[in-house]
Amino acid sequence: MKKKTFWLISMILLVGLLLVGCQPAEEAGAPEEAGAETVTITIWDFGGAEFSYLDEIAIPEFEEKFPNIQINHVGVLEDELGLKIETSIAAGEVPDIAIFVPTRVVAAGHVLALDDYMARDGIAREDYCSLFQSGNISNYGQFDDKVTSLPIDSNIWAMVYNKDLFAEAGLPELGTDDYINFETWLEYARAIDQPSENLEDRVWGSNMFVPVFNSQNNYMSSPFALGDDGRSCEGNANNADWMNAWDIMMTAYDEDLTPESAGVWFEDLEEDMFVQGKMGMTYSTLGDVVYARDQGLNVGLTGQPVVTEGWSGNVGGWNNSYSIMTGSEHPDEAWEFLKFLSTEAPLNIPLSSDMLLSDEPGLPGLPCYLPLHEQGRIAELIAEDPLVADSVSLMSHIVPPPFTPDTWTSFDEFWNVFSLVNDEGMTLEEAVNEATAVCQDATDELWEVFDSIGQ
Amino acid sequence: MIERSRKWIFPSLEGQKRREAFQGYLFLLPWIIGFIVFLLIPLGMAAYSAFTRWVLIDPPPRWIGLENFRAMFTKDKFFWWSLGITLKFMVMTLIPFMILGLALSLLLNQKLRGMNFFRTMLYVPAVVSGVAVTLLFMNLLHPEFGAINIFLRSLGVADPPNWINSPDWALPAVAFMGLWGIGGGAIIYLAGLQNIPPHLYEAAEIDGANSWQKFWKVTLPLLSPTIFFVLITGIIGSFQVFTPAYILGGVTRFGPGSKYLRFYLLHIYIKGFQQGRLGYASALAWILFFISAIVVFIIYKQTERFVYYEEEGKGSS
Repeated sequence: MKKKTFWLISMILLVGLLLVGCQPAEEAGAPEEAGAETVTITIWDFGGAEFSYLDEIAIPEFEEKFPNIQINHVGVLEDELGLKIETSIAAGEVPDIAIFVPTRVVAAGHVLALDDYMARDGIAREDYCSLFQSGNISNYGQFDDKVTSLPIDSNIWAMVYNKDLFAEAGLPELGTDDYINFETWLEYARAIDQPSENLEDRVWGSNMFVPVFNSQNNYMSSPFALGDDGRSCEGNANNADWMNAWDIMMTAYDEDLTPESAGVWFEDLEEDMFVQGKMGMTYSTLGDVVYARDQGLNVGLTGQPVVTEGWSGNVGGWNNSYSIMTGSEHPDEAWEFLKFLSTEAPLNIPLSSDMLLSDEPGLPGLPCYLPLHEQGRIAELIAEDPLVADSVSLMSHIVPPPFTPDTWTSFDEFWNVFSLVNDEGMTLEEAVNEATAVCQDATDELWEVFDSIGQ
Repeated sequence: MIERSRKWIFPSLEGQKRREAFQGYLFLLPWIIGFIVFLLIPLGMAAYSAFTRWVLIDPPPRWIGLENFRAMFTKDKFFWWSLGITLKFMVMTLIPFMILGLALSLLLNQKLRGMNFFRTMLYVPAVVSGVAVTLLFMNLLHPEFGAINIFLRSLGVADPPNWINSPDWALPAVAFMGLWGIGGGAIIYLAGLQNIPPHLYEAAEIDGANSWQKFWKVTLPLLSPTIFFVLITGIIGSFQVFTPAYILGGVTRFGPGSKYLRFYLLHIYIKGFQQGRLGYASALAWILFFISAIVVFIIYKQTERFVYYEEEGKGSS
């Protein structure tokens, strides 16, 4: 080969490689801006039917009001959202707004403090519901005395019961001031249960109040299942009260008082058993109980069974809260949308069932922004709908748990207690203690990571 | 100027040789750049980060010396647990799969019609994506509807295992999945078998050796380098189990990172990418490297005793 040709080819190859390597990466996710002045805000949440109210109601309304701000709504699987947020931070491609930002991400300073925006626009912390005031970073909106997220709605996690089945079984009606424990729950479930080989005639006493889905996360025992410091599963999740509650739930399972005994899980059903009038009691948001009533059921709303006798926290709760990421390139526009979502949009978003398979877009609870309770549709609902009024009353029963980095991960192992007993032959005590040990390991790991932030 | 630079780089070479050497390295340059950028630099960063507290969402890394290693040995319960799971898996699978692979290769070494077809069919599973294989076995091993338990029930087993949903059977289920890939090992054995000179078998036959004696005295010794290779790669492969653990762990009732399937590599992944503790995960990875290196070194030391190289006599390398 001639020297010149060789050198020419080598130089071309080298320059070509350098040019290719130095190309900036295309920005993924956000669509191209429509014009020079239009800004696109990306918002991440779980998507799907649960958040369809954004696409169908809130975003069109906002974009009409702010034509220069386009909203790109991205749904991310709930199990993956936290990891996706963290990797987006590492990659430098964060969304503008995200729901349920992991606590360690908040602690690492990756969400904007909203206090200045709130002060500028005349929004006070006191304008928000009691759950927000608890100051707990875990989806209640505050960390280190700064507002880190704004809630859209505030949701109760209570018990809905079928009044007709209760009356048939000779049981009293329950109201918002009534408290039941698991012994009473079992007694009611036995009274309501109507065994039958025929599914059409079968009525179950209750849905299974699985602790990890209901009581553990929602502080329905005293002490909290992770202790006062949120770090100690051992001794708190497997104390005498919890063993008693597990024993009762296992009894209900063995006596076939719940659909779980038949291997029927509510999410597998084409139509929910409670809505069909085939179950006496189940867990519920406000949206669920209103939906059940709209399907023709005669329903009532009350607190869930508590694990500890006399404990007042018989209702769980959470806010759907969004945060603005510090890496957002358009924080002002992101604030406008977040403010709209929190302080205006809920007026036009109907109530919708979270658990009972409704297809309608909507929120499962009332707005957390209290001034909306005195306006329009919301004020009418509170004044005229007894179930809505009951939910407002039950809101005061919520006792927010002590902060812990991630209660779901901590308690996750307790989903396996029944399987450990029924499939692996453990005693109930062994199974609960095994789950508690795993819970403790998981909690220790979570705290280790959380505590290492900023050191 | 070019000639001067060549003289500077290759002072001891003259003229044409210098030019050729320079051109050779120029052609090697892309690989060298890749080696430095994608191997050396990451290795260096991994070595550095193992001594730092480096959290994904809380950079920059901060030097903490041996703290990661101390925490690993004294505080991290899953460190020892995941090593135990990995070693148990190795014990369950290494020798049995080597024996099965060898048996399969002896079958494939027969001179029968259609043998190429069988060799191809048995090797194809080894090249199928690990994710696809795991998903396939996820369905096969379903406690209620999986084909394996249906088959076991048809044989009269009233209570077949819950497989990945059982603390006792989750690891054997993953080991069972490994059978899918024994075709790969069998092909390697097959190559070794076909390198054994036929005249040795002829000589053995003349001496009155039966099949077993031929296998034990001729086949095994001359196949020992191949067996040694499969053993080393099998050990390294056991330390690198990730895909089935990650996918199956995520769908078992025990949840992601299920402790019964918490292989060491999965533990590294959980620490590094789920918990964002990159420094600690780097330290774990280096421990894996050293453990693997020690194990392979110990086995290499046994080469003289157990591996026979025909050209220079037993145990020569």
